[in-house]
Amino acid sequence: MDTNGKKMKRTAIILLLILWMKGGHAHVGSPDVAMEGVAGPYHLLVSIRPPDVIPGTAKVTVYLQSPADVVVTTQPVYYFSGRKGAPPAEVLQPVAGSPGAYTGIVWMMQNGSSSVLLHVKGSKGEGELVVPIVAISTAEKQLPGATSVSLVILGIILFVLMVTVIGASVGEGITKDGEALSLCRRRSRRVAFAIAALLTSLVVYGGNAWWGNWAKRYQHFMFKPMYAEMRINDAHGTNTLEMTIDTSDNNQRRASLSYLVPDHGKIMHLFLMRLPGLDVFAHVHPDREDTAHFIANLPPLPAGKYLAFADIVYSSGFTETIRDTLTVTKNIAGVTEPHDPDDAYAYALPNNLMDNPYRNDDNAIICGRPGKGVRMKDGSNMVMDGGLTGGFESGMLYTLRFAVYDSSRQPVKLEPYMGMQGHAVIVKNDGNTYIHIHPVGTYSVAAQANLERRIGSPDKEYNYDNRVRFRDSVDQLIRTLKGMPEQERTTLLMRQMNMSPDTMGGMKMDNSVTFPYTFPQPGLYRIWVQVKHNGQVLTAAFDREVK
Amino acid sequence: MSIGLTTSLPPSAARASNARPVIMKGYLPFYIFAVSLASLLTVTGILWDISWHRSIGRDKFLSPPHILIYLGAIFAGLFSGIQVIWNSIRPTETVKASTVRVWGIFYSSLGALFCIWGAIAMLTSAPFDDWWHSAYGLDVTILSPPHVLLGLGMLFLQFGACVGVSKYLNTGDTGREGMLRILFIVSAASLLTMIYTLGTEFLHTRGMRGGQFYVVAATTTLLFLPVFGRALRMKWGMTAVALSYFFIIALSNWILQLFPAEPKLGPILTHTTHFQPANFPMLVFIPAMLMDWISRSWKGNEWVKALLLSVCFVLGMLIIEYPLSGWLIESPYARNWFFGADSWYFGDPPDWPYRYKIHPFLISPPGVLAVNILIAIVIGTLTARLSLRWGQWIQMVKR
Repeated sequence: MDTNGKKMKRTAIILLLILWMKGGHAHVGSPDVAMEGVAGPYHLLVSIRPPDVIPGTAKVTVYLQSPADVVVTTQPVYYFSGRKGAPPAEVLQPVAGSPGAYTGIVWMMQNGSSSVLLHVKGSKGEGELVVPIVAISTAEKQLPGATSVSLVILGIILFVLMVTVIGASVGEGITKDGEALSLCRRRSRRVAFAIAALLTSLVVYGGNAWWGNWAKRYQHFMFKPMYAEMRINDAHGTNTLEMTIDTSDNNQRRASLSYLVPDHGKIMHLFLMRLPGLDVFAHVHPDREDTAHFIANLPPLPAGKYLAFADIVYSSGFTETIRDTLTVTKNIAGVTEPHDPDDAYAYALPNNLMDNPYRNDDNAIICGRPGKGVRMKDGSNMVMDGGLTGGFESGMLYTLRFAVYDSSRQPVKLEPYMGMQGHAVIVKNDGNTYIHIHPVGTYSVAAQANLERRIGSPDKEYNYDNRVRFRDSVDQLIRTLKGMPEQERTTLLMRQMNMSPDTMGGMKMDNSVTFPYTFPQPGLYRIWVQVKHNGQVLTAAFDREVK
Repeated sequence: MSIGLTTSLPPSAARASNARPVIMKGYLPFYIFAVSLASLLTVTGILWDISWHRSIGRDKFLSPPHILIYLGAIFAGLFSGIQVIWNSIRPTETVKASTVRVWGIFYSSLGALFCIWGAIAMLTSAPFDDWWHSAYGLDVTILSPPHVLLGLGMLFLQFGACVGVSKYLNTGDTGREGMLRILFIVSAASLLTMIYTLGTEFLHTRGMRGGQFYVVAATTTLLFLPVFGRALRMKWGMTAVALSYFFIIALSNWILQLFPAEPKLGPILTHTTHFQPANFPMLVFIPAMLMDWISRSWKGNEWVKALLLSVCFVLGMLIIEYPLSGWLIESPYARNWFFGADSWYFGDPPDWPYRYKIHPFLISPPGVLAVNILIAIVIGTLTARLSLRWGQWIQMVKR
């Protein structure tokens, strides 16, 4: 690479890191919830835009996959107060010109884990669906220009009028009709003007200070991302990733760390992607050493700066992504024993970079572009539907569909991967949008299962279990899961997610996998898709432009 | 009755009369009726709105209580504004002689200026509050900057109504003193209710066994009641205003709870079915009777009068409200439509251990209570003295 090229690359890395460190939060820049689910006899696609200020309103849109004459109602259900503490259900209104679409709002009154309970009733019967929502205040809003100008004008009028009224009160207002203002009253009026101006200014100053304090208090309760420190310890030749979550006072959820629950049987899902091209990808599952320490053996990774996204789920259903960067100073060579049977990694090569040193590696794949499939490490191909013409638009709910074919272009029957048909990670090229999704939607399945249990519970108020006992029982469960044969583990995981293993929870295991998703903003996105076939985790990558 | 002239003479007659202004016997400008009614509308709207938030929780910009509040603002602002415009278009010498000149072009009665300020402040608070909710979330509190701006606007509107009526009361020869006093009492009681409502956080029934209650009650009440007493120039002026405050709260409590209302915001920990009434009103009219008697009887130094008023009010409230608060909270006989002691916010758990018991945290030890009572008397004396002086001013309002 020439000097200019190196400079550009360095600038790109610095720019990406600056953007990276600027903030973000749970599921990083992609707050919309998309869900594909079943409510009794009805198949639904649900899109929820949570409020960015709590208390505030979430916009709920429900699409019936087969339009029917139904009534759709919605209720916000809080983890703390359960179904008994939910307000009465409200009817969603049909969307004009879109048969089978219903929309409305739901008030989210408390920060934290909430859910929207949908109820659908029609001629075919009735059913319910629980959609987990993470309600957090993330927005700091400024007064719009027009409102600001009108408030300033009204403020000036009020100020001047106030001074006038007080002046008149000690002047003409108490002077007999027809009499001229005496010298003494004129003097009093001038003093009154001055005092009124001073006092009104003090009131304005005090009001402004109060406003400032209010804004500060709001900022204090705004969602603050959790930080962690990651480092590689190769002292014993095992390339161990050590992750320490910051448990200082700045961490709003440090007391809740004991209440993590496994999602798909793992206490944490960690995704690593190398900067700047997001060309190396690893999905690993660290073990919990204690409340704030996690470790994992890393797969072979080339040196470089990596973005790290660690997903965790709390027992309340609250989900969070911890972000960090990780520097791998030298290539992690050789094949290390997978830390977890479900760990996987891949090298995604851009279409135009044919001289990449990893091109001949078994784990190398060529990124799929519109119309191009991705050849995965077992020789099968994954193709992505849609996006060939017209592309994607931000803010629209899409069902992203991927299909797998073998080398003779025959459909391949996929197997459940951690209890799901597939997993996908969608990352914007600047790293500021990240989400880990499943065929059922953007939410955590563990969160939904916990919320469903909570909704079914008769208790009006929730009382948390002893933290040590809770953490130990979760660790024990994860150890048990890890030691189980795969089939048994899948069956148990599905039971825990309230899915029937006999019917695969309603999942159709064929050669395709779909993910409902709303791209939050325009830009270039990389979509990593992971499926399982013949006991092997297969990874594919696709690049898509969103307008 | 004229629509808004400060003199009740028809314009032609007023122009013809270049001499001293005359207030025609029996004539009262319509705007003083309008602003007195607006005072009542706004405070009723606020009480309804608070009950709405405690019973339903969720509202819109144009909810019925909001409409009532802003209707009051528009009503007062509009009639005061019409009065100013009417007086300012080709003003007669009579108008010029009997009004306050504003910014060189407008002629207005003093009371209408207060009302206009109040109406503008109230209307300004509406977009401010709307933005506030979008920026910091829906607040479930009385005291926030936009709410205080709204409250200040209402207080100015109500005080403007008092000043507007005082102008006519002070002449003493309208022949409609009875009506004027009723209008004044309505406006003053609305103002007092508003003051107590803004201070709810410190003046609620559960706080009556703590010293802070008496300090806040003395500061607020003694700043206003003596002014009203002086302005009304009647034997039981303060009592009448305090009793009217009692009935504004009591009637709104008794009426509101007749109507169904269901919580619409979670979490709902107590399922309520009707509008929840506010606290049973304070029995301020009892010490106010003594205060009226002192005001009439004491002819000496104003500072001593202020001290007597303060002692009378603070000790009166202590003797009445301290035991009454315990009874209201603890006695099953208070849990009925009249006292409304079983009123409950849906977001609070119904089985809260202190629902029918005063939390020890809210009870001041005797020593602390005694000190607070002394502080209340001292502050009450200062505010009562200020109020008596303010009362002299209101008696001087001429325009």
